[in-house]
Amino acid sequence: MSDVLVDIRQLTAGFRSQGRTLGIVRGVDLTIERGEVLGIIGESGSGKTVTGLALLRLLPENAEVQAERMVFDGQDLLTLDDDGFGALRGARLAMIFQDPVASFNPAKRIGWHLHTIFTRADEAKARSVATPWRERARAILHDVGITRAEETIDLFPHQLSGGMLQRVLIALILALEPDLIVADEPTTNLDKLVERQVLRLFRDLQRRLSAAIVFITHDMATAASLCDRIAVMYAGQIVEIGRTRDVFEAPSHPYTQGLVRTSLALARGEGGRLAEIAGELPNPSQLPPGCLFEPRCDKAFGRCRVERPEPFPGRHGRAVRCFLAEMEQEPS
Amino acid sequence: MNSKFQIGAILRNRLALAGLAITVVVILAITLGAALMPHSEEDMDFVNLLMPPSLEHPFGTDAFGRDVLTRVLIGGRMSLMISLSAIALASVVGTMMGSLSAYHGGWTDAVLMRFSDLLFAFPSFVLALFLMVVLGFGTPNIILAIALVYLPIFARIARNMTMLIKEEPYVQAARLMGRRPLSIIVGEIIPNFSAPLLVQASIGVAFGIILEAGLSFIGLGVQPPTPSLGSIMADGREYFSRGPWVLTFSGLAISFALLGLNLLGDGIRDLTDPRLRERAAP
Amino acid sequence: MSLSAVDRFLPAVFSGRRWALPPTLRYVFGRILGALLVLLIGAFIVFLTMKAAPGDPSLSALGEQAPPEAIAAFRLQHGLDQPVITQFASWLGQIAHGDFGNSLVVASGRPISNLILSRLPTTAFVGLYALTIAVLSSLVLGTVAAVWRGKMADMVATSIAVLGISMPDFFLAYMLILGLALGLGLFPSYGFVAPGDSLLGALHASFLPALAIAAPMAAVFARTLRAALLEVIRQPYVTTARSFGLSRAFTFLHFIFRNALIPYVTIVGLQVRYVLGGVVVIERIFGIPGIGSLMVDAAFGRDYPLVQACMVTFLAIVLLVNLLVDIACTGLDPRRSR
Repeated sequence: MSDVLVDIRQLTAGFRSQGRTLGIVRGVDLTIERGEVLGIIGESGSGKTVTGLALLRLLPENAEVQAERMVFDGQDLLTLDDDGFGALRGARLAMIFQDPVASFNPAKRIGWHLHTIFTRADEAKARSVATPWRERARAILHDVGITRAEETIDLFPHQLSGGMLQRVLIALILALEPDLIVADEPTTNLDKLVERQVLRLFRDLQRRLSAAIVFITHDMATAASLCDRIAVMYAGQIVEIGRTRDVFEAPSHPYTQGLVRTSLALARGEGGRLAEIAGELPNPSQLPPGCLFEPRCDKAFGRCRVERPEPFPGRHGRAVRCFLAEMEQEPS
Repeated sequence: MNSKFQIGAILRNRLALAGLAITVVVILAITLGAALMPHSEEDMDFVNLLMPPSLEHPFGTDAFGRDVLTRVLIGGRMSLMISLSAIALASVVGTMMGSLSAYHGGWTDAVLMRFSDLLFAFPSFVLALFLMVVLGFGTPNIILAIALVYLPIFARIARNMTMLIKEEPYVQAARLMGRRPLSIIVGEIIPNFSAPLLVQASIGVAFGIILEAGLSFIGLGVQPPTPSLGSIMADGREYFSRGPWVLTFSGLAISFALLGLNLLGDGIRDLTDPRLRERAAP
Repeated sequence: MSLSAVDRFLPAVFSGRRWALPPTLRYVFGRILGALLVLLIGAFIVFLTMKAAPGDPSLSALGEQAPPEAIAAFRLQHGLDQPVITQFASWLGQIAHGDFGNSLVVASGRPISNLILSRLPTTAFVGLYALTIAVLSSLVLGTVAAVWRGKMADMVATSIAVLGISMPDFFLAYMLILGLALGLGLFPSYGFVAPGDSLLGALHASFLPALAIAAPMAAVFARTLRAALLEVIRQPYVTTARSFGLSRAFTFLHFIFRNALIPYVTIVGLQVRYVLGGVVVIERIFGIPGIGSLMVDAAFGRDYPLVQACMVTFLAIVLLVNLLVDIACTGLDPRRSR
């Protein structure tokens, strides 16, 4: 059995609107290995969330998703029908969303959510568990650091804080025991202290389940503390991917360099605004003819304006979409 | 945006267009059409009593041999006149009441709003019936009764909108410049919620027609022989089993007019409410 | 209807130590007291308005040519010579004892409370029958329209809904009579069978009136449900449910439908006013001996005490239904309970 859990080639996704399709994801290649934590970094609108949703086929009806190849653990996802995909979700694939408060059914108690998930997990694993569900619920809430588990079970979602709900959500995922978890900015809405606790939980979660995690974030520091590899997304493309250390210590794409500079400046307590990369994402309906980053790039030259760079491979699975990286490597 | 939703959006606009077209047709029919009819609504023809629809009388004749189409057109004019007057009265008075109440706040506002809540708790037809008893039967009193039933709805909209708008900087500025409250309300506040008022007025006219027809139908509204859509239907129910066309055609006429007004109201709401427009896009 | 002013002052009454009730119960008690207060004020306003009405009730009861002595005796007997507030107080005192006074014109001399009590079950039966039809058909129509939105089924359901709103209920009643009673002979066109005598007979006899009242309501309900379902479908927790791989039926029932039920029930509660409005005319058309036809008779006869009593009864029904809907919504929506 290979170590590759997910293999995606040329994933594109967009939304149909007024007779046209607005592209959001433009040709993403991604392999995810078993048990690894892959960070996807990008500013909002870069297509990172859509990539995550497309992976679980959770995009709304007006989305258009295409790929040359989409394989999960040897199974071709492209030919899988909706029912077959539904069977994968919750059993082998799971997702954690940005807003924990909005992720819960407001009409049902926490206990109901846990009970529902236990039923789903047992059904997926084709097993029957003798332990009463309340006991299982208590145990799993303890696992995610909720001390007053017994009371929490009988509460409604609106009675819990965002941090607590994110813990419960992690408990639900823990119960499902999936092989791949897509976490979409799970700590963005939390304050710093709670964020650190939740991140620690993620590390535990990953260790206990030995699941692969796709951790979507806009925060370099968070990604660095958690991820084995990092993919930087810009305007629907992965502009740089590689081992976390490599990407951080020697960012190769001008955009990554900017992100690292910003994050270091923030860590030193300097005003983040100053170090931020000027400009904004290109309008999806008016893309520049050459490199998508060219209008904001301070190192752009003639070729960048007419030709779009392809990913240029480097050592340890590194790939960079930039002519500069290609030129630096070529002489050797 | 979803392509399916787009079909819905176009269709909804088309429906609004259809509503406008129906309303225009109805207005033309009860003004020009009624004037062009060869018969008079009071001409009795004792040879052709209760005749089924024919080329001569497309909606048939009633028990006095009167042409039903002519009566429906003249009666429709009466019904629309009553409803329009009532809604005009209700919208002007209700809007002013609601706006003034919200602008000044305090206990007047509280009392007025409790009172409108109370009026809301009565079934509208029952309230109209009660008001007819209190005011006495007769056409001017129908207008007054319908206006009173619909008044709290306008007052409520005006109050809620004024509450929101009165904190806007331009209203504050007008206040600081020393403009009188009435001038601020009429000049700055009310124009800002004309769209919901228009929607409510269009639905309100439909509602007023139904109330009038209901009151006249049970005999408490417009009195025969004056035709209104309700009184024609009341006539028609007397001999419904022998000549169902009288009631059927007058009822279809009223439904047609209401369909137009309802579609128009929905259409204006879709076009003017940005919140709803956003909602159409997932 | 909003009773927020009442709410604001009621919890203070109950927050003392002596009233250590559970919050839900306290809430319900507050609601009941609030409704009673509104009923009281409503009754007073009805009473005052009635007093302002033109015409002399003694004249309408005794006839225009009644001798002055008879009128004076009548006024004395009915306390009409007292100040308005005294009259209201004594009227209120009587109501508190279940005594609405005697009917002046309709069923002359009969106690009004008797009249109302004998008519109330009929109206309640027809009203509930109509409500049941409206709710059941709107659940189907609204769900179909939302699930297959933009498709043929949605167009059909939406069209039915718009047509339903545009047809006055009394016109629909006659169309139903024309088609199903006179044409096909499936249902009677007139008359009422008490459910106590034969439930099936009653359901059969009242089908057309109930359907006529139900149709416009069903249209409104279906539109509400459709909009609510489409709103809920877009909520993130529905995507979460899908990400858990929960079955489509389970997700629809427990996530989508369950949450759309809250606005739906609210609208159903608000529409009860229209049901009761429809009842008045429809009862008259089908000759159903309910509160509605009683009120129309009273209106024609200028039987003021009876009109008054009918108004208060209608107000009480609406307030009661509002109360029930409010409690139901609090149960349905945990965010609303305090």
